[in-house]
Amino acid sequence: MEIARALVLMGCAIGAGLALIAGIGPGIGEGYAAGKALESIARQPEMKGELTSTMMLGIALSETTGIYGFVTGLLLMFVVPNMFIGML
Amino acid sequence: MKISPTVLKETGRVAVGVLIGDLIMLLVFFLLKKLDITALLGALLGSAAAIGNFFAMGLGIQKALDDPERTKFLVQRSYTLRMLGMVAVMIAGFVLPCFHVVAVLVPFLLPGVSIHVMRLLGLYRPEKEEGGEST
Repeated sequence: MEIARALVLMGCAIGAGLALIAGIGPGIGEGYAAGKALESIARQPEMKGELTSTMMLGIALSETTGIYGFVTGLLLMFVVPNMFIGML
Repeated sequence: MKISPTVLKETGRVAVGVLIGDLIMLLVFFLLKKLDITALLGALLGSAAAIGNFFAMGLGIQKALDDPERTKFLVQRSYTLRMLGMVAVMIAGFVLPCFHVVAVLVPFLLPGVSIHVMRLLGLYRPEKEEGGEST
């Protein structure tokens, strides 16, 4: 029983750690996208409004993947262990 | 710092999408007979955090575009700070009994969903700004 409980907790902790890695990608991608948008604005300053708007929505979309990862990680930390331990 | 009209307009659009999504979520809660004060408070907290996060992102981008030498750094710093804030709100939703967990979590996914829906329905038109001067 104790071993099973420890295994459940270990699995959840490893899973949560892996899920939280998803938060790294959007951070790098957002910086890259902003850099490229800045280059584009430098080339065509009259397009600034349109580029900013498109970039904001694109960044919000890419950020959603990070949020999915965080939600999954938090579920694995707070909800899933109790659920599985209750089933044991 | 003057807030760009682009940021305000996009935040307004996303806020409308989040509020519509919230109403649908609360309707589902009602149909499942689980609508209570915790669900309402959770939806309120989650929506406020999701809209605030989008607005903060817009401000961060605006600030980053006005400072070309530190663009990448500013955007990545803004992302990290916003993520920490969101995790704090999510953990509050998990830990505090006055909030329904699902009602707190779902609004965080609604900005992305509303942008997808806007694009699918052809409602998305990028903001055109007069001139190229920085705001």
